[in-house]
Amino acid sequence: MLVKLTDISLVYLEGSPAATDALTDVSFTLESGEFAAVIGRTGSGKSTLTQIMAGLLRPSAGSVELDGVDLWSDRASRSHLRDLVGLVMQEPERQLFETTVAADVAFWPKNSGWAGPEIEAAVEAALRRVGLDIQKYGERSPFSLSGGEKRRVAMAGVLVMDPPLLILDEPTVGLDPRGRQELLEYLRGLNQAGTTILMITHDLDIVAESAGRVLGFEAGRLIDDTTPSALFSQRAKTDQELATAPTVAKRLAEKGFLLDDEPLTVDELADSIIKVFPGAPA
Amino acid sequence: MSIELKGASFDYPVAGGASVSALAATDLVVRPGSFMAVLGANGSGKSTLAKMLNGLLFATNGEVWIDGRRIDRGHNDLFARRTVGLVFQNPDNQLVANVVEDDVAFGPENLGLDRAEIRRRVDRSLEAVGLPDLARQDPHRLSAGQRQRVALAGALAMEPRFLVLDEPTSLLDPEGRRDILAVLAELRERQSVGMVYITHIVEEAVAADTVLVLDKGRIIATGPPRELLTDATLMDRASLYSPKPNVLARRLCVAGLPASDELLTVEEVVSSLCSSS
Repeated sequence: MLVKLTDISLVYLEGSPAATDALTDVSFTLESGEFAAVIGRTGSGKSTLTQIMAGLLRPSAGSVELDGVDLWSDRASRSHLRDLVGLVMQEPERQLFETTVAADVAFWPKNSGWAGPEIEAAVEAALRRVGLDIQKYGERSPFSLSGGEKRRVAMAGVLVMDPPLLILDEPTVGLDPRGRQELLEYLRGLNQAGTTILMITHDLDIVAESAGRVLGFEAGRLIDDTTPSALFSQRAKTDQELATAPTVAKRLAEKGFLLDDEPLTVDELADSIIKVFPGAPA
Repeated sequence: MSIELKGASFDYPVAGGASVSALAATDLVVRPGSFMAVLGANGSGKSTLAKMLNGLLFATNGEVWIDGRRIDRGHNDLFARRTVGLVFQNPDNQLVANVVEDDVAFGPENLGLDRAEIRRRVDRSLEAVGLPDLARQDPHRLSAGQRQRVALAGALAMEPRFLVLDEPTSLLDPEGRRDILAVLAELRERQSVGMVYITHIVEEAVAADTVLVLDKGRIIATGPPRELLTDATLMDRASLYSPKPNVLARRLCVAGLPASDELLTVEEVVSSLCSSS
């Protein structure tokens, strides 16, 4: 067990007339090595959830356990938080502030009291992991970089701590299609190497292609905790949006063209169609 | 009545050095009711182009004309901003008030409209973006996607004749995106609002009349979606991909199934397969 949320509720401005329920009775457990996608309408509590999991917000009720330790039971339990959880917020490049790329990525290691050579090696490795060469980028000002490059520097600043749990809030927004593809491949690689990932996304194709589990939120409640294929087969019975492959499969089925499996990606879909198409070359 | 760029370019000044070209000499025309999609990698000049279309940036060389008026610094720039609404990529760059409906009313108030007209425009715009229930909320306490809707409502309340939208649905869930795209389509059809729509979602460009592809500050292609979006070489050069239904159609086509490599939408692929099976 890596993360355990039990009956989490969060009320913003609790006790005031403007009090709003952001999350209500949310419980789930995330195991080591999972890749979970979080979906839901805007304002359904997804970003609040990430901040609670990263220890930035204290829930109004319920408990958050990381590696068996209750986050809010005592101060000491939060002191190792940075070693356990990396949070990449929405548009993380807005949080860049140092004068050079290398200094920005070195911020957390430095504040955690790492030794100089250790910091240098970690910064170089973190930049390499997001595809940036320290020789070329290390001494540049973060503000001279393109949007996609800034996003990667900001991610390196989180990855440098090598957190076993990485939480990302819509990391692909604003990236061009190639940048998005590269980031997703990178995250899948990281996940295969053991990092647990929880990612908020509105892109159902990303859910279909990358996630092994999907948590669906509505008005602050966890309404779905399932696999992408179960989610799409359930949604296919409604008029809710689907990823591309399940959409095509659904429309084909409506016209009497049935596939004999439930493809999630365009590649799998092409294979399924070719397999059952009458008279198709084997 | 149109927006016209004639050889318009833009160079960013660099402190103590030579300037950097963000957009090379560009010619284009945006007509009422038309829908132009702009695609390109990060840093390809899309946002610079957007700001030149509504008088937030002025051409370093060349000319920008709106409705027969030349737009330049101190010259018709207010006219440009009223005629062409700009919705930024990041809603936080344009939210100004602490109550949603005040924020939406900000632009119309500056036009000197009477109270009743302002009220009408605010209600209508909030209705269009699906936010009437949040009219009295503080926009800064809303989710990013909701703030994006508020920013769009603010632009709609100006009732501009053109809209330049820089990734206006990037923070919305799929249903929210579908609703907003429908609102925009209606504005084009019913009120002939001309639109320049910047997006990283290639699938959103399928419905455009014209697609414009930018690469390193230059237009490298312009034409109908079917021609450009199915051109794998062009897409690759611009760090883009063809729409997913086209990728599917191409694979089926290679396998000898009845699907042309020019199909762009799910519906086209489905009917192509079903009409011949």
